[in-house]
This record gives sequence, structure tokens and C-alpha cells, in this order.
Amino acid sequence: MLIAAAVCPGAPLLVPELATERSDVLAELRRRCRRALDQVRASRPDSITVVGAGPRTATFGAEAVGSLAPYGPADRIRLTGERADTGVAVLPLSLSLGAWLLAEVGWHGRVGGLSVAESSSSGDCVSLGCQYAREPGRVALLVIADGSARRSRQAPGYWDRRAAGFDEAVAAALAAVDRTALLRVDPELARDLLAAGRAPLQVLAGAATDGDWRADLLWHEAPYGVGYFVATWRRPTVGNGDPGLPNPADR
Amino acid sequence: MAIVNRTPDSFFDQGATFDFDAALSAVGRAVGAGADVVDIGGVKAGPGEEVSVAEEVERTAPLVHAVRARFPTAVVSVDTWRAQVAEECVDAGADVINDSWGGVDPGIAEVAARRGVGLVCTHAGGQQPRTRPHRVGHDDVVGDVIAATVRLAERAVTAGVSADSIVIDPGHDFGKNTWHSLELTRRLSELVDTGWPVLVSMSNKDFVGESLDRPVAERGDGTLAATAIAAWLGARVFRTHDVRATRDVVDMAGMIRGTQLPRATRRGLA
Repeated sequence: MLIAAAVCPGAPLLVPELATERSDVLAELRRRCRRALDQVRASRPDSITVVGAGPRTATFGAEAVGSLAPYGPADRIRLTGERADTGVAVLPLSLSLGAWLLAEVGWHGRVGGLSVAESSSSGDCVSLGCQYAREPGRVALLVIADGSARRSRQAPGYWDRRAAGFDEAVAAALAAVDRTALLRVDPELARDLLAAGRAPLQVLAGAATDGDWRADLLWHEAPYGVGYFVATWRRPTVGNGDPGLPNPADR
Repeated sequence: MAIVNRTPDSFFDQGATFDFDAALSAVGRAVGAGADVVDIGGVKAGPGEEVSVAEEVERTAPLVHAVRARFPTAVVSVDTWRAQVAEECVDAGADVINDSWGGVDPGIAEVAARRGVGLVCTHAGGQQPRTRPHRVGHDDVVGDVIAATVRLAERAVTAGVSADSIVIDPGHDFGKNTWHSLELTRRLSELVDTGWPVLVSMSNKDFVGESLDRPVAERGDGTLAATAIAAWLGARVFRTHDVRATRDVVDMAGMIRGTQLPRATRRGLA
């Protein structure tokens, strides 16, 4: 059963070796991502699966290799977070970044990866998500997902008047655990707006089945013209069956 | 190769030569400062207001015609990705088509072939014209650039363009991040080794700006440093906003390499 999920951006500039700019904004964004993952870890998951957009839908095991080297001076990395000196890089950028984020927070538990094709229908995404809902044990997801890359005239995709509203709606859905709203996001509009997060977020909507959820929207800005979300969804802490046990990551 | 834009919105000149007379004066200054080639553009490279084919022709072709008449020895190039604009500019007297978006319109090579003019074959990473790179990765950026530019050059030869009228351009910043453009510059000799003459278009671009953390107006020194290194590594054409300085840098690099004679030696020789 899914017990927690974090949403983080898929931007290579999260990696300090790639983005050398001294930037308070980036430092803050990285801090929020770490906090989101700390919150997920505090839910004591048995495994964390990284979900992100990719050229095709595929699952990956812990030893699968990814690489940030196509974007600059960076190492190849396994989903486990270990440096990979051998093996062909097969992970898409989103999962490589997810592996990097997990390594950053020192996650040494079980990991997996799911790449979701951008062309996947909302129904496909829900089906993929349901697998995690049904999986035995305490399952967590790290969802690598962005809003529109068309948030300003300086944005990678230039400016589109629909982009800000699109991102606001996604942020509101994340803040309210509104699965219906996430599933309403139109794949075609998302593609037009260069929003890389539509499919992975709909996987999340499929995985987070009923029950109580507690949401924390930790970041929702577009400092480089791309909408970034940092958020967590957690089932209320059930420490030995005690609902509402204070969560150390919240302090 | 001097950049003269008849655009209201190009990133560096910000419309300074949009006006016809201002553009023609800029050409005069560039030729006076030692430009061999004048590259005339009518659409900014970045995203912005849509410019129709008719509008682009209106901006470029009359200027090409005037430059042809007033500066008969200058090589006139037109910076466009559209075959129709290229054709109109060749009618007006252009000698070279600078296809800086990497062959998105295959008709461009056919125009160059049919009309017997030169062609710049550029790597733009498959980007559509006037789009910015977004998380573009290259396993081997130099390999990608060589493969794409040589393919375009060979396609042009097959279409009938004279092989000695073709140059290749790695397309700094086009479909590339700063790491990619730095690596391309560092390994430029590998492009030179293809045998095709290499054109570099680096003037005041973002890879210079990001490398030195300088805004657009303060990238001249960085551009010249890159120019010196590209010249040393064998580039042959340098597209620039600053002709006088570029001419000196390129000549100096040639003199240090020993491929060019110094202009006025006297010291210790009296």
C-alpha cells in the first residue's frame, strides 16, 4: 500500500555540479526537496519507487544505471544512488535525477523505477499507479514532475498565457490531495505547455487510493520559467497503530 | 563575418539596425573595420513576434541589394532558415545562405545548388527555429555535431552545391547548454579535422555570459577569448558583432600560428 509520496522537480540544475550559479533560489529549492524526502522517510517506507516521464513506459530495478553526464560534468549513477562505473545508462533524465535525490538524503533502502511515456493516457497512468496501491508492504513514491516550461518570456518554451493557471491548478491539487483534479489534467494541453509532470502525477493519483492523506506543498514557483512543485502526501502517521503520532520531519 | 540584423528585437543590438539606413551604415562600418562577409538577418534567433516570409523578405532583400551595389567586394550572406527568403535574397545579390537552424527546410540546399551560392550547414540539435533548448542531453556533443553537420554538407553536395562553397557551423548555444558549447569550443579541432571549413558563431552568446556570469552587454572580452581559441584550433569564419576586435584577434592568432604575416615588423631590424 502506498503510504507516502514526494513530488520533486526534474531539472538538472538541482545538481550543484551542473548548475554552478550561486543562487539562493536554487539552494532553497534543494533544501525543500531534501525536506520532502525526509518527510517520506519518516513514514518508514519499505521501498521507494522513483516515477518520472521518459521516452517509453518501463520499470527498472535497483541496479539500473542512469547518467547526468549528457547535461554536464556529472557521474553515472544507479537507482540505488551508488556511482556506476560499469553498465549502459538506461534511465531517463527524470529517474537519474530521482536516484541522485535519494542519494543526497542517504536513502539506502529498497528502490525501483518507473518511467512513464509522455504519450500515456490518463487511464494508463491510473492503471500503473494502482499497482503500487496494491503492492504489499509500505510503499513510497518519489514522483519527478514539473509544471509548464512556458511560464515567462525567458522560459525554455517562451510564454504561454495558459501556463500559470495550469500550474496553479496542479499545485492546488497537490495541496489538497485532489486526485480527481490531477486526473482531469488534459494530456494534450500538458504537452502544449511542455509540462513534463502530467503523466507521473497521474500515476500518483492512481496510486494514492482512498483513505486519509495529509498534504504538504513545500514549494510552488517558477524561478527559471518552469513550474516547480515540491510536495508530499502522507498517510497520517500510524506509529504502532497510533494515529497522529508527531512526525519528526515536520519540526 | 559581420552580423547586421534588420530586426527590432535581436538579443544584442536590440533593434539598433532595424532601420534600413542604420543597417546600411552598420554594413559600411563593418566593411571598413575589415569584415570579409556581411551576414544579414531579418528574424531574431530567440522566440518572439512571428515574422512572416513576406516580412522577412522585406527586411532582408532590399538591404542585400543595397549592400551588393555599394560594397561590391563584400561577400553578402543571408541568415535564414526559409528557402523562399533565401531565394529572394539570392535574387537581390546574396552570395551565401547562412542556414543557422540546421536544415529544417531542405529546400534551402536546393536553392544554394540551383543558384550556385554558398551554404552554411549548422548543428541546431533538431530544435525548431526560434526555440530554446530545454534539458537537452548529448552523450557526445562533438560526435553529434560532426555527424549532423557533415550529413548536411554531404546532402548539400548531393543536391548540387559546390563542395568548395560549404562551411559547417557547430551552432554554439543552439540546442546546447553552456557545458556543451564549452566542450565544442575546446574540441573544435575535431570539427576542423572533418575537412569542411568551420564557421563559429559565438558572439555575446549565453555560453559566454554564463561562463563569466556577465550580462549581454559585458560579454565582449569573453567572446574574444573564445574567438582566439577557435582561431588557434582552426576555425575559418567568425560571426561577430565586433568586427574590428575580431579581425585583430583572428589575425593575431594566425600570426602566432605562423599562418599569417605580421602587418608591420620593424623592431630590432633597423
